[in-house]
Amino acid sequence: MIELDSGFSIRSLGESKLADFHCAGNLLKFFQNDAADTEEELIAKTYFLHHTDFQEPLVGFCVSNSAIRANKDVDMTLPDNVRHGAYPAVLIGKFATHTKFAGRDFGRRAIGFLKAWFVTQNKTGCRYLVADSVSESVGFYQKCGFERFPVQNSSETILMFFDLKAYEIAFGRSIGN
Amino acid sequence: MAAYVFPEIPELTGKEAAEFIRKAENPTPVKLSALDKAMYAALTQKPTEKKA
Repeated sequence: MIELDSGFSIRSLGESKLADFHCAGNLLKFFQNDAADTEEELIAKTYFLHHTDFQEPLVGFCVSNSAIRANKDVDMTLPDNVRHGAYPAVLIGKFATHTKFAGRDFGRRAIGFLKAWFVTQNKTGCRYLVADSVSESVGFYQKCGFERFPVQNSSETILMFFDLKAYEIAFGRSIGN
Repeated sequence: MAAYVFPEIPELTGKEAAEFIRKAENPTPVKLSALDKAMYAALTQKPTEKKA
C-alpha cells in the first residue's frame, strides 16, 4: 500500500476487494477477469485508488512499461542537442472510476498520483505517460494535461500522452530550484 | 491466458517525429494544479510504501 494525503491510498490488485469495484462493461471484465492474468504474465500491473471513508476501490488502472519511438531522419532539421530516437514511457492500458463515484474527481487524483509516482519513486527512467483512452475519456485526459498522440493505430481507442519532464521542470521552478 | 492485448504505440516518422523530438528536447513546463502539488508532496515528504 502507498499512503497518500487526506486518507487516500494506492493498493495493489491483491490488496483490493475486486468484488466491490463496478465500472462500465468491458472495463469491468478486465478488472475482474483479466487483471490477475496480465499480472501473472508480467504484461501489466493493476492498482486501485482507495479512501479510508469507503470500502470500495474508487479508481482502477493498469500500467506497463512502454516506449515512444520517433524515427530520426537525416533530412530533419533538428537542434544539435537531439540525442534520442526513443523515449521510455509508462502505458496506462486500462483506467476506470467506480460508477458510484463518477464526477468526484477521483480519476484526476489517480492520474495526479501516476505523474508524481513516476517522477519521484520510479525505479527506471520514464519520460512520458501514455494512455490508451476510449473516445469518451479524451476530454478527461486533456483536463489532466495530456495531448493527443500524433499518430493513432486503432479506431477503437485514442492514444494520449503527457510529458513528465515538463511536469518535473514546473516543480523545480515552483520550489525555486 | 488474459484476453487483454497490450496496446502498441506506433512509431513516429517524418514531420510528426521531428515535431515530437523538438518538443521533447525543449519541454515547456506545464501548469501545476493544487492536486499535482498535493500528490507530489505526499510522495516526497514522508515514507510512503508499507505492507498492507
